[in-house]
Amino acid sequence: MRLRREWCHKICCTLLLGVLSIAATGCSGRTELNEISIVSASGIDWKDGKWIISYQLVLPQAISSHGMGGGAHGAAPVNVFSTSGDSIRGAISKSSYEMSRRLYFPQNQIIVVSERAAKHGLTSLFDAYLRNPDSRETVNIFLTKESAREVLEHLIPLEEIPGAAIARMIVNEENNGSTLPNMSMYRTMLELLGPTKTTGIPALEISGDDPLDSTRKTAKTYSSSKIKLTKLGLIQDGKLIGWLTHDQSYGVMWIRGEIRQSTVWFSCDVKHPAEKAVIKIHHMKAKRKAIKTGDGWKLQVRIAARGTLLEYPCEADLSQPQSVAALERQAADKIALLAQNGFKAVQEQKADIVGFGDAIRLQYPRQWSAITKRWNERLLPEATMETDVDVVLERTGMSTDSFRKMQSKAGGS
Amino acid sequence: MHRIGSYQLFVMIVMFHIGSTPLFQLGSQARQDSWIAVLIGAAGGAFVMAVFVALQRRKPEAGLVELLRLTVGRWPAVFFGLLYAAFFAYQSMRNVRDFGELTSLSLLQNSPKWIIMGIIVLIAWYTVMNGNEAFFRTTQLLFIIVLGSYFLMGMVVLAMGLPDTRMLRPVLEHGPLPVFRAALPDIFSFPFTQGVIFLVFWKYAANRQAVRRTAYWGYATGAVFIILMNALIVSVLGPLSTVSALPYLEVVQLVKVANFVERLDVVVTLLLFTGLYIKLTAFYFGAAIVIRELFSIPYAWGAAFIGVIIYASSFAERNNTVHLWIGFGVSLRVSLVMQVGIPVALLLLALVRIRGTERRRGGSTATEGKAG
Amino acid sequence: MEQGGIERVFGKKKTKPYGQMPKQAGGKPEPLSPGIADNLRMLRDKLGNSSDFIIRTIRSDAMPGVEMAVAYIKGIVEEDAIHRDVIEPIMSWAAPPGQSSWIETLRQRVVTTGASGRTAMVEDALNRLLDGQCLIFTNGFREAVTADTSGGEQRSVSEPNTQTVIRGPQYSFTENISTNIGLLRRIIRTADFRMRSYTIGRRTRTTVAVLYMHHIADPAVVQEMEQRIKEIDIDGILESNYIEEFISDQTYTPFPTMMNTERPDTAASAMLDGQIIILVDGSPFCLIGPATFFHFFRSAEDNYQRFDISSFLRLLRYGAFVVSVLLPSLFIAITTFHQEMLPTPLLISLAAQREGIPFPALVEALLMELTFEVLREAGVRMPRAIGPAISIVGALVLGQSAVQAGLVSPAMVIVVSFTAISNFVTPQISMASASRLIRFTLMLLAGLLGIFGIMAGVLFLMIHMTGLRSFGVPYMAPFAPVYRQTWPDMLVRQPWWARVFRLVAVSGVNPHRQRGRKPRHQKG
Repeated sequence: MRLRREWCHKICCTLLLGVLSIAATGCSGRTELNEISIVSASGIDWKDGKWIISYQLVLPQAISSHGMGGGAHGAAPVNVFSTSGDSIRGAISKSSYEMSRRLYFPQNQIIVVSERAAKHGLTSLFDAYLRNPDSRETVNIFLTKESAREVLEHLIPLEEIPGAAIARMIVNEENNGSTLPNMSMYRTMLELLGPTKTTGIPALEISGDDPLDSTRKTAKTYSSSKIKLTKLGLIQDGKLIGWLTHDQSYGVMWIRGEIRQSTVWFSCDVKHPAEKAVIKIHHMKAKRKAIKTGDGWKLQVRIAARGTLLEYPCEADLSQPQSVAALERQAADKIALLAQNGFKAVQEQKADIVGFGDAIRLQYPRQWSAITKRWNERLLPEATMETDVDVVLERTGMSTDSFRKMQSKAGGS
Repeated sequence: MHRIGSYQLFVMIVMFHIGSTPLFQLGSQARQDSWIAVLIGAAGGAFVMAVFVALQRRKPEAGLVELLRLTVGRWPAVFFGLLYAAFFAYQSMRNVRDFGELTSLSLLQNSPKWIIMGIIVLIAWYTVMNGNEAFFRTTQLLFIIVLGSYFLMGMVVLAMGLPDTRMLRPVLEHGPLPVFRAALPDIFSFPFTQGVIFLVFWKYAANRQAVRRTAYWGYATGAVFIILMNALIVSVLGPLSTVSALPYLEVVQLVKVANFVERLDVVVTLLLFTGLYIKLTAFYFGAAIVIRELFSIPYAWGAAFIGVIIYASSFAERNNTVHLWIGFGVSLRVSLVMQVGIPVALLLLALVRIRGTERRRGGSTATEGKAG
Repeated sequence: MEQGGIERVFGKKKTKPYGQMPKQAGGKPEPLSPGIADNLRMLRDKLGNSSDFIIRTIRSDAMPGVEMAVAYIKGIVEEDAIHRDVIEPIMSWAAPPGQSSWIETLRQRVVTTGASGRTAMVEDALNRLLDGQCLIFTNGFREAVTADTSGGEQRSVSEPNTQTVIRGPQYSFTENISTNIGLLRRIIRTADFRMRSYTIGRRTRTTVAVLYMHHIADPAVVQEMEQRIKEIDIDGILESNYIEEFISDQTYTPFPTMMNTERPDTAASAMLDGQIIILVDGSPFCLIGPATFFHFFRSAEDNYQRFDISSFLRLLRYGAFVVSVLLPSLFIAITTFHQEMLPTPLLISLAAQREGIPFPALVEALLMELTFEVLREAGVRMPRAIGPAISIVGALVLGQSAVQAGLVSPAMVIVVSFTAISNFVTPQISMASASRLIRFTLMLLAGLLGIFGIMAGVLFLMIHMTGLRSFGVPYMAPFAPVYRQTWPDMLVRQPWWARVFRLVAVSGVNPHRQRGRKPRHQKG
C-alpha cells in the first residue's frame, strides 16, 4: 500500500513538472511581447536587380508613458532599417541577421513602394501578401518617387507613430478632400483582378530640404519638411505606367463616384473671373452607362451632387431662386470640366480606372469578353464621355448676402 | 440512450449541415454565380433528404442497422453496416485532418499538428462517452454562440459597407453550364447529402412523427444560411474569393470599425472550431452506434477503438494538397454512392419489404399494417 | 422525453467498497434489569464513569419503600425542566406501588414534560440518555420512563454571517435542528410542509431531516434523496457537506450540484419552487437540491429588490462569472499567441510594460493568482485585530511595489485583481470555488496553446456540464434541454405578478405558481 502510494506520488510529480516546464519553455509557438518588434510601416525598393525592404519599428518605451525607467523623451519613437534580397520574403527573412527580435507584421499600417519597384512589377508583392497569414490586406499602399526608406525615416509632427499617422492621413483625405482614393492592399488587388486590370495608387512625397528624421528637429514650432500626398500612380498588370496630377485624379474620383466630401470652386461672375465661389459637396452619386456608338463606345456619366455654400464673393441676391440656380449651373459646369479633364488624362495614359470597362461588362457581357484585351490600348483612346451634372445647393450657409455686397450697400456708394 | 427533443434535433440538423462550410466558398468554378450553384446543389440535396425521411417513416423506431437488416437480410446487413461504419469514421477523419490543417494555417502556425488533432479527438471521445444527451445539448449551447457570432460579423461587415453587389453581377455571365458543372456532383455530395448520418440518430427522437417536419425545416435553414454566406463572401471579395484558402477569414480581416474593433479573426477560428467539432463528433458517434448495434460489444470499447482508428488514420495523408485532392476527387465519388446511391436502393427495397406502420387505409394493405 | 416531462435518471450501479467493515460495539441487545442499582451501575460503566452523568435518587414521603432514581447527562439537558417537570411531580406524587400500570401512570400522569416514553433495552436507554432525555428508574420494574428534557446552551438566532442582504429577513439558521425546522414552519404554515428525519452516523447519531412541500416537490426525487441518505454508512456527520458528498450525483466534477444556505427565507423559497431541503443537526447550513447551474446565480436579495435592478444584477453576475473564469487565460493567450488582436496603441502600451519583466506571461499570471489565493486564505484566518494591516500589505506590497520592482507588469495586476473581485460576485461560494479551479486549468491551457487551448477547455467544460445531472435534473436546464417557460426567470427577474411558472426544471409536478395577471391598477 505504501509502495503504491510512493509510486503514484512520483508519477504525478513527473507529470506536473513536465506540464509546467512545457508551459514555461515556450514550445508551440508562444512569443512574449518582449520577443517581438512591431513593424508599423514597411517600404519596398528595387535596386540593381534586388529587392530592398525597409521596416519602421516601433519603440514602445519611447512612446508609452509606462516605459520602465522613464520614457526617454529624447529618443525617437521609431527606428528604421533595411534588408535586401532576391525575393521579398527572402529579404525579410534576412532581417534576423540584424535584429534581436522577430519582426511582427500584423500591426503594419502602410506599405510604401518606390517608383522603381513599381515599374519593375509588383506581382510578387501581391502574392506574398495573399499567401502569408501574418500580413494583413488592410494595409494602405502608397507610391513614392524617391526611395521608400526616406519616407519611412521621416517623422510626422503631432503624431507618435508615423506609419499610423500616414494611414490616418489618407483616410482624412478621402473623407474630407476626396482627391485621392484610399487604396488598401485588398482593394488594389481587387481592381487589378477586375475587368480592366488597372488601378491607381496615391503617392507620397517629402517636400522641403531637411527631412525630419530626429526628435531634435521636431522640437521647433515649424517643420522644415513634411510628407505630402501628391499624385496618383497608375498601375496596370502590376506595373507602374504613368501618373495623374492632383486635378486629374480629382476628376477621375468624380467619375467613379467616390467623392465623400469635397470643395469645388468656380468663378461666379464673368466680370471678375478671379473671384471664386466655393461649394462644399457632402453627398454625391455617379451613374455610369456605356453606350455603343458604331464601332466605338461612349461613356455617359450622370452625377448628382448636393452641397452647401462656403464662400461667395459676388453680388447676386441669394434669396432669389434664380441666383441659386445660376450658382448651381456654374458649379455643375465646373464639375463637368473636371470630369472631362480627368477622362482625357486617363485616355492619354491608356489606363481605364474610371469604371468604363466595368460598365460595358455589366451591360454587354458578351461583347466585353471579346474586346477585353484590346480595351486599354486601342478602344479607350477613341471613346468619348458625356456628362450630365446636377448640383443642388441645399443651403447658403449662415449668412445670405455676401460681405462685398453689404460693404457696397453700407458705404453708400 | 436518452431521447432527443424536436428542437434539439432541429438545431443539430442545422448545425451539422452548416458545419464549417460558410467559411469556404463552394462552387468557386462558377465565380460570381457560385451562390446559384449552391442553390442548385441544395435543391438536389433536398430530394435526397426526402429519401432519408421516407426511410425513417417506413419504420420510425429502426436505426440504420435495423433498416439494413430488414431490407437486405442479416449477413449483407453486417457487410453494409461495416461499410457505413468505415465511411463515417473516414468522414470523421477528414474533418479531424481539416481541423488540424486549418488551425495550423490560421491560428497556431507553430504548434505541432498532432497535439491539435489529438485534443479534438479526445474531446470528441469524451462527448461520445457521455452519450447523445451531452452531444445534443452541447450543440444547443453552441448554436446560440455560433448564431450570435455570425450575426455579429454580418452586422459589422454590413455596417462597414464592404459587400458590393456589383461583384455578383452580371448574373450568369458565362451561361448556366459552368454553374451546373460546379453544383453536381461536388456541392451535391458535400455538404448537402451528408445527412445520411441522421438515419442513425432518428430512432432516438422523442417525437418520431415530428422528425419529418424537423428534418425539412432544419435542412432548409441550413441551406439558406450557406447560400447567404456564399453570396456575402463573393460580394465582399469578388475574384479574390476563389484564391483564398479561407475566404471568410479574409472577409473578417477586412473589418475595421471605430479604429479599435479590428482583427477579429479569432471569431472565425471559433466558428471553424465548433463547426468542424460538431461534424466530426457526429460522424464518430454514428460510427460508434453502428458498431455497437452490429456487434454487441460494450459501447466504451467500440468508441475507444474507433477513436484510435480516426486519430491514427488522420496522419495518413502527406500534406494538405493531397488531403484536398483526395477530398475533391475519390472521396466525392465514394460519398455519392454511400450517401445517395445506397439510401435510394434501400428505400426501394424498404417500400417492398418493410410493412408500413403508417398505413391506415387501403384494402389489402390494411391487414398488412396491423400485422406489421 | 426531454420536453414537457423531466426524465429521471439515477445511477444504479453497485460499487465495491474500499476498506473493511468497522468493528461493531457489542453483540446482542440487552434488556434492562429490574434492579435499580444494577441498571445504574451498567449505565455508569457503559459511559465510562463520566463525571457529567448525574444520578438523583428520589425517596418520596408519599411512597415509602419505593426507590426511584432520575438519571441524566448534565450539559445536554435543560436542568430547570428536570427539576420542575420530572423531580417535583414525582416527589409530590402519591400512588401505591404494585399497580400493574405503574410505568404507564408515571409516564402519562406524573411526568409533565411534553414528550415522554418508555424503554426496556440498555442500548435504547443509553441512546436516549445521550440525546438529552432523562431516565426515571423504579426499583423492581424492567422498564424505565424517559422524559424529553433536552436543552442546554445553544447559540441563539442571529444574523447570517455569509449571505447577508440589505433588505429582507435578518435571521439565520442555528445549529439546533429543531430550532431550524421551527423557523421554517413559521414561514410556511400549511400542512403540505412535510418532514422526515433520519439518524445518520454510527458514533455521532446526527439527526438529518428531509423537508419538502407535498404536491409541489417531485415524489420520485424525494424518494431517491431519502434512499441515498439511508444508504450513508459513516462514522460521524459533522456538517451538511458530509451528506452532500455522499448523495451527489457525480463525484469528479468541480461543479456543485446542491446549493447550501443559512437563511431560512432562501430555504423556504426553494421549497416553494419544488426543491428539497436537507437539514443537519449541528450545522446552520442546509442543503438544497436538486440544483441546476443557473440556480447558483440567484441571490436571496433578487426577490426583495425591484425587478429591473435585480435583472441587471443577475446578468452582471453571469458576466462576472465568465470574466472570473476566462479573463486571465484570455489575457495570457492574447498577449503571447495572438498579439494581432490588440489595437495598436494598446499593444504598444503592453509591450512597453513587459520590457524588463523576467517571467513569461503564464508564470507571471500563475504567481499573481497564487499570491492572491494566499492573501485570501490569510484573510480568512486573520485575527480581527490585525485585519486592516493585511489589506495594506496586500495593496501596497504586492500591488505597487511588485510592479515598481519590475517583477510583474501593471496590466497583469489589473487582470488578476479584477478576476478576483469578479469571483466574489457569485452568490454561492461553492460555485465560486469551482470557478477558481477551472481558472487555473484554463490558464495552463492558454499558456500551452493559446486561444485554441481555451476553446478546447471551454468545450470540454460544456460537454461535462451538459452531461451532469443533479438528482436526475439536467444541470443546464432550462437551456439544454429547453424549457422555454422558465427562460425569463433564469436570465432576469420578472416582476412578481408575472412569475407564473415555478422552475419547471426542478419539478414538473405543479408548475403554476400563480395566475400571473398584471395588477389592475398598474399602468405601463
